[in-house]
Amino acid sequence: MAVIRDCSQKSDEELVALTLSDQGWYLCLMQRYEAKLTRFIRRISGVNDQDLEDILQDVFIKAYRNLNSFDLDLKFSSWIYRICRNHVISHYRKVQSRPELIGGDDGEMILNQIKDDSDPHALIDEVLSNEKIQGVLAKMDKKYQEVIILKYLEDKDYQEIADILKKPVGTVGTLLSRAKEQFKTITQKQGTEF
Amino acid sequence: MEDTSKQVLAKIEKEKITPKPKWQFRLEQIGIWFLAIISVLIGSNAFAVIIFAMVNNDWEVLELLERNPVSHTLATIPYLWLVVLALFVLLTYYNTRHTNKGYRYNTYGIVIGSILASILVGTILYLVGFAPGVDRLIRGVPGVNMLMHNREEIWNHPEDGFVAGEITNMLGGAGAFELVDLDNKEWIIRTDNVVTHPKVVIRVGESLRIIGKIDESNIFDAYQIMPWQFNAPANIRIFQMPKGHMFNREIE
Repeated sequence: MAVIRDCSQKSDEELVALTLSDQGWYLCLMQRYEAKLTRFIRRISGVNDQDLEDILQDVFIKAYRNLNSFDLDLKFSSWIYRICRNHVISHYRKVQSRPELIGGDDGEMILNQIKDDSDPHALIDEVLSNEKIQGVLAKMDKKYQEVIILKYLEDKDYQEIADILKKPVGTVGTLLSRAKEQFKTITQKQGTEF
Repeated sequence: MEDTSKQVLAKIEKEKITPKPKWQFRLEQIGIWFLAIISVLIGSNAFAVIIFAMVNNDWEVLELLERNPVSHTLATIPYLWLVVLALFVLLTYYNTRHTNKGYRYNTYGIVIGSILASILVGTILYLVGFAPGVDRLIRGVPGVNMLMHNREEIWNHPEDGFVAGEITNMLGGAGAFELVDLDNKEWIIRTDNVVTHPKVVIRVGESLRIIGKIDESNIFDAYQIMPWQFNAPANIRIFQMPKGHMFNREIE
């Protein structure tokens, strides 16, 4: 008979502790992150659904195997996003190709947010073109793409991004600022108007 | 996609996958910290030897040696040890970065911190007299001596008034002693009109630098006597005599 576990009131960290004594609780954690990580993998890799599912399964198993290394000073979300990002990078190293970033309707979301926290006159008063933005993002350096994705699509704060990328917070700030600059430079070079 | 979580749990149960034990991660972290500490210690040794080499660089006799201080400094900087220090500062940085929370530290903070740690520990090692042994050990490695400044080139010219060596015999009451120089040649050193550095103790086994002049009876008339090395423990043999040499014995 299946055991019913009520996870809704439990924090990620409590679920980690429970999982270590009873693996059944891990289902709660996985279900909590399945949609988020699916989106994140798609955003940073652009893989097809079959590959995506394989990657996600590998990520969950890897996280489970390494559960004892989870440090309570981190958010669980940062920890599992880090595992996920590293696994996607390893996956692409294996298949020797560069991840194609950003799928779906994410472009508009990014541009709106970049506009919000930069010079309001620097960019655009016209209607946003999702395809154009994706074209710009595809031309950005990998290190800048991922901070843009984490900041504007995954809605992570600087400390979380730092924990995911394993970089100092100051470096994350610098990366983000340069990422925005590169975004603007590419749009200007392309003569892209939004 | 909806069933991914359930599929993973089923796989975990079926394949009896278990989390790696905590001690493995702890051991890994301890290993990384251990390597970081070892790197600091080796960097510190390098710094201790740099101080030792710079202190024992014949500054006090530059004028007599007719050497320009700048060119002398450039020619005698222990570059090899500076490279070793830099290398181990980088290794400390690398190891610290790979600790659990190492990525949170500022890069400059880690580099400057490891340099400061090497300077601090290195200074302590120098003060407790650790440097001469390390210097001697490394100079014993074939080929290394060629990469370092060799003071013996300066002090192996008795004909020009510069001699260094080890006291082998006290000529009691005669104001003289016997010394074997860097070429294992024996000299009688006369000390009638000598200025002796306060750190010098005239006794068998002491290694000295002597400025003076050879007189007509082939006795070396000393004007100035200085220790061969400062901050070198008195009971270590500085000069390496050939095996079987009559003076090649442990000094008590």
